[in-house]
Amino acid sequence: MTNPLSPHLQVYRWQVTSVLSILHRITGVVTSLGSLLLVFYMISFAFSSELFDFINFVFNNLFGRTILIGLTFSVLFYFSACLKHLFWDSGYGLDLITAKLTGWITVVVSGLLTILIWFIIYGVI
Amino acid sequence: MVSFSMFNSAKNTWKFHRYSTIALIPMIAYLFFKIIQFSHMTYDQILLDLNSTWSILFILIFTVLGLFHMYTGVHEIMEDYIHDETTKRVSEILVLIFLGGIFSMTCLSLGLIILS
Repeated sequence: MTNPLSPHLQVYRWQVTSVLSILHRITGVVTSLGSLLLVFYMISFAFSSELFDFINFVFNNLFGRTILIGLTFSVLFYFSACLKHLFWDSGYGLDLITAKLTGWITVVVSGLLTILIWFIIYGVI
Repeated sequence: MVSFSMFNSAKNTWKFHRYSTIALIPMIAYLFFKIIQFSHMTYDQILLDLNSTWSILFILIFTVLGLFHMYTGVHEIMEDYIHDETTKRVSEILVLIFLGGIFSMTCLSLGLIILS
């Protein structure tokens, strides 16, 4: 017989704090995998301008841009959540209302920063 | 068990994960600042910028800290979700190969940038 593993997701009522905790781990893994992309960019850049232009060309479409924008959000969300954890580790913001509020703040701030960064890159701002 | 000796205790792993977070947050902000700057520069201008002692030092420190942070983070996830010891060992070896690959490729690209 296979016992269910903690935290018993099939019977657990979803809450913003638990969803964001899971998202923190997922974005951590996505960011780690995304670092490979950054290294590919660096390697192509170091080899030649032609190879770098080719990599840029590969990502210069809807699919490629979606990956890059998604990765930007992932990195920003991960580090915002890390910052929140540092406050928790120091004993601040652990009550339920503050924990929910800071959780939403990490999502909104990462989303806004992602939009801001890509607006600057595209020259909109 | 395949692991760095300094991460053998859960307390050390936790402490290093938090210290690396404190160091990485400003570095990530700087990295995004540079990415935005590079997006408006030519290839030669970026090359000149990257070929400075400061840039090379930043990339090296960022890579080493980032890799240790990734290792401690993934190690924690594996401790929580992988219960079979053999699977855990194999996963740890694969993670180390992945991180070693990133470090090698970063060093290779830095070497090529310095030589260019």
